[in-house]
Amino acid sequence: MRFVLKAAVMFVALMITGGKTCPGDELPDGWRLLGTKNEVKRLPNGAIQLLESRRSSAGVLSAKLKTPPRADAIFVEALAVCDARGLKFAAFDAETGECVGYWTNPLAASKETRLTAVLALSTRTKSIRLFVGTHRRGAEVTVRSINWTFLRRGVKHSSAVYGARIDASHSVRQTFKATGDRFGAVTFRVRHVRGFTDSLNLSVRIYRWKKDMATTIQSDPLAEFVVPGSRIPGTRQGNVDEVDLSATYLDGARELTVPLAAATKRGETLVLELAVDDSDEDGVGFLTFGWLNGYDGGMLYENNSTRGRDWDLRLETFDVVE
Amino acid sequence: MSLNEKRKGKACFVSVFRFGILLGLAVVEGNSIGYLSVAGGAEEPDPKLTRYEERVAPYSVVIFTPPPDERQCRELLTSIRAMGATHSFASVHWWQMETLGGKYEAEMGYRPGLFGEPSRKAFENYIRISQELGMKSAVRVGTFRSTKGLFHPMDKTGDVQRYADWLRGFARRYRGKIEHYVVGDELNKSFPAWKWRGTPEECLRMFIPIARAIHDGDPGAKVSPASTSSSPATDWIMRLVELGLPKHADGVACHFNHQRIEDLVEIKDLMRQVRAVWPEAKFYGNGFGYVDNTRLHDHRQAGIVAQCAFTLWDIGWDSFPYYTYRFSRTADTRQNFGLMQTAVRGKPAQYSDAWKAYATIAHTFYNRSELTSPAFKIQLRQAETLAEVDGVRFTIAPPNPVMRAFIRKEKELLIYLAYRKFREPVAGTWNMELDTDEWEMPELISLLDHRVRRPMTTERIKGRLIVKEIPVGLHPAILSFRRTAR
Repeated sequence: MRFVLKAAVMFVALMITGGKTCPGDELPDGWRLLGTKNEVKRLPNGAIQLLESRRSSAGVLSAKLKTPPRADAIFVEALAVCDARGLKFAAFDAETGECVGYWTNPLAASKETRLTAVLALSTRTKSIRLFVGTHRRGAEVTVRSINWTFLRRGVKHSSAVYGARIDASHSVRQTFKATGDRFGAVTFRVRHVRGFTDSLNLSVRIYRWKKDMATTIQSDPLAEFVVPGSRIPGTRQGNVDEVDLSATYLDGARELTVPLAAATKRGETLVLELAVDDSDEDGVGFLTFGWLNGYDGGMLYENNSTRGRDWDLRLETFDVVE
Repeated sequence: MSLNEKRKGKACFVSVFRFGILLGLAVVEGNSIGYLSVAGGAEEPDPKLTRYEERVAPYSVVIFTPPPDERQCRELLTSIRAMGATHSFASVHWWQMETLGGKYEAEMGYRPGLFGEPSRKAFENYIRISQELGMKSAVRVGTFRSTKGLFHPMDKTGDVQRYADWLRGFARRYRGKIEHYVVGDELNKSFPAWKWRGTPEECLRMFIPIARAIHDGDPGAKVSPASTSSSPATDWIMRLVELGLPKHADGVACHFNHQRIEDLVEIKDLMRQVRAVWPEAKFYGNGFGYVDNTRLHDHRQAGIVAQCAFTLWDIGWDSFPYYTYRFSRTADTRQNFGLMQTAVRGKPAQYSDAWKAYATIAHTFYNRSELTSPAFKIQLRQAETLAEVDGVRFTIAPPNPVMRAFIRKEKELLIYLAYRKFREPVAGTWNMELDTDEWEMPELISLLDHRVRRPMTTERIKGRLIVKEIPVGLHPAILSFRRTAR
C-alpha cells in the first residue's frame, strides 16, 4: 500500500512566465510538458496533473537557450510548493541531451516559496535546455514563474570549521573584488542556530566598500534579498545543545543561492553582509563560516593562521553574462 | 576540535566487546536483496588476513586510553582489526604512566589507583596485543593541555626537558614497536592562562627537545608536531617548515573535518606546498572525519565516513585515525560522531553502518604501490532517460561524480564512484563503458559488508564492456572486475 501511495500522483500547476494556460504539450516561450499522454492530465483550472509512475519523469522543458560564450553557470528561480527533494532544476546540453547542471530542492516548501539555485555547467555547450520538475519518484509539486539568467563564476572562497553567529546584535560581512560589470548572485552556507524555525528571515545585502565598514554599515545597499527562514535549515537533529555558538560546527548547513542584481565596476571592493531581518528577535539567529563578524578585530581567527587566503569561508560570487 | 578525553577514557574501562553479536548485524536494509550471501559475519576477523602490517594504508582508529583489562583490550583491538585498520592511535600522558608520588587522579576526574603501574600495564598489553594481531601502533604524546599548563602535575617547573627525558625512556622501552608519535594536540591555538600564544616559533621551541628525545630513544620512530586546529592551517604549518621543522621532524599532522575533505582544494594545496620543500614529509593526524550520527544505522554517516576514508587514502595521506566510540562527543559542540557502541551492563556491543562502511573501504583500498592505473578509456554515461524531444534523448543525473580506477596486481580492476557532496547529497544512475576486452564480470561491493557482492548487468559491444545502471550517490559504488577468461 505504501508503495502504491509513493508511486501515485503528482500535481503540477504550470504557469510559466505570467501564468498563461497551456494548450496541448506546448507552453509559452517554447516550453513544453514532459510526460506521456497516460501521465499528463489537464485540469479545468489550468493546472496540469501528471500521473507519474515510479520510473517516469514529469515537468517542463524549455526551448533551446543559446549559451553566451563566457557563461559557466545558470541561475534558476521558480515559485513552488513541493516536498523536500520533490523539485529538480536541471540543465541539458541541447545537442547531446546530456545533463550538465543539476539541483534538487533540499527542504520542503509547504507554502508557495521562491526557490533559487545556481547550476554550475559541467561542460561548455552551444545551447542548453532547462528542466523544472521531478524524475524517478512521485511528488506533489506546484510550480510557476520560472526565470533564469546565465552567469559566470566570480570569486570563490572555501574552507572549514569554525563559524560566526548572526543575530540581532551581530551581522557578518565579507569583502571581495568585483569581477564583472553586473553582479548576479552569491552562494554561501548557513543554518539556523537552533533547529528549524520559520519565523526568522535572513537579509543578504551587497554594498560598495567604505573604510569604516568593518564595524559599521551606513550607506544604502546596492541590492538586498531576504531569504525566508523556512529556506534555512537547522541542525540535522533539529536541535543541538550548543555551548559556544561562536565556535560551533556548521553541520546541517545548506548552500543558499541569493540573487543580487547590481551594477558594479570590475576590480572595485564590495561588501556582502548577512543580518537578521527582524531585529526584535532575541536569542535566535544563524551560523556561518568565518565571515567578518562586526567585532573589533574582524575575523574570528582561531588558529593563528592569520592570512585570509585559506581561511574559513564558503562563498562564491557570480556575474551576469548577457 | 578536541574531544572530551576524560569521558571516553573512563567509559573505555567498562567496555566489553562481544564479538559474536556482529554476526547478527550483517543484514543490510534493502541492499541485501539480490546480493550473494557469504559465510560468517561481515566483521568476523578473517584468519587469512592476520598480518595486516603487510598492508600499507592509512586506516587507523583513535584509542584514548587502552583498557586495563587484557581481555577487554584484546576484544577492542580485534574489533578494530576486523574493521580493516592497519593502525591504532593511542594517547600517552606522562602523568598517567608515572604519578611521581602524587595523588591527583580524583582531582583530574579519574578513579584513584588508575595511574602509574596499572596504566603502564594497560599500555604494555595494548602494544603486545596489537603486534600479535598484526597492527601497527602510533601514539599522541600529551603536552600541557590536560594539566593546567604543566607537563606533569607533580613537576611544577614546567620544564620541557624533564618531560623529554621521560619520553626518551618511553621511546627506548617501545623501540621498534611504535611507528609514529604526534606531539600534543592543536598547539596552534592560544591558551592565555598558560601564556601560550600558539605561534609556530613557540611550538617549535617546545617540539625540538621532545622530538630529539623520542628519536634518541627510538631512531626508527617517526615524529610530527601536533595536529592543527582548523586544519590545514596552511600558513601556520608552512611557517613551522620555514623555521626548520624538517631538521627535527618526519612530518606534519592535521585534523580534518569531513567538510574539509568534501572540498579538497586546501588539503591538496597544503600537501603540494609541504612536498615542494620537504618531499619525504609524512602526513599524520590525531583524528578525522567527525561525521555526526543520529542513530546507529545512519545512512548519511556511513556514506561520508566511507568517502573520507577513501579520499585520504587516495590522495596519499599517511594516517587517518577515526574516532570509534559512538558516545564520542566533541567538547565544544556536543556532536556525536563515533562508529560503535561498546558493550555496557550486559548489553552487547553494536557496530554502526559507518563502522561497516569504513571496513569496506579499508579492506578494499590498500597497498597503493601494487596498484596501477588502467591504460584503456573508461567513460560514464547517464543511464536514466528524462525524455526524447526533437530526436534528442535527454538523460539525467547530477554531473561529474568522482571516479577512480585501479588495477591490483593485474588480477582485479577496482572502480570507485561517488558524489562527494556531503551537505547536499545527490544520486544518479550511470552506465559505464570500458574500452577493453581484458576485464569482465563486474560486481558491486556492498558498502555495508565488503564480502557481499552483487553481479552487475553488462553488455559486450565490439569488444567494449558496458556496465548497466550503476547507482551512485553519497554511498560510493565500488565495482570489482575480474580478468576475462581466455
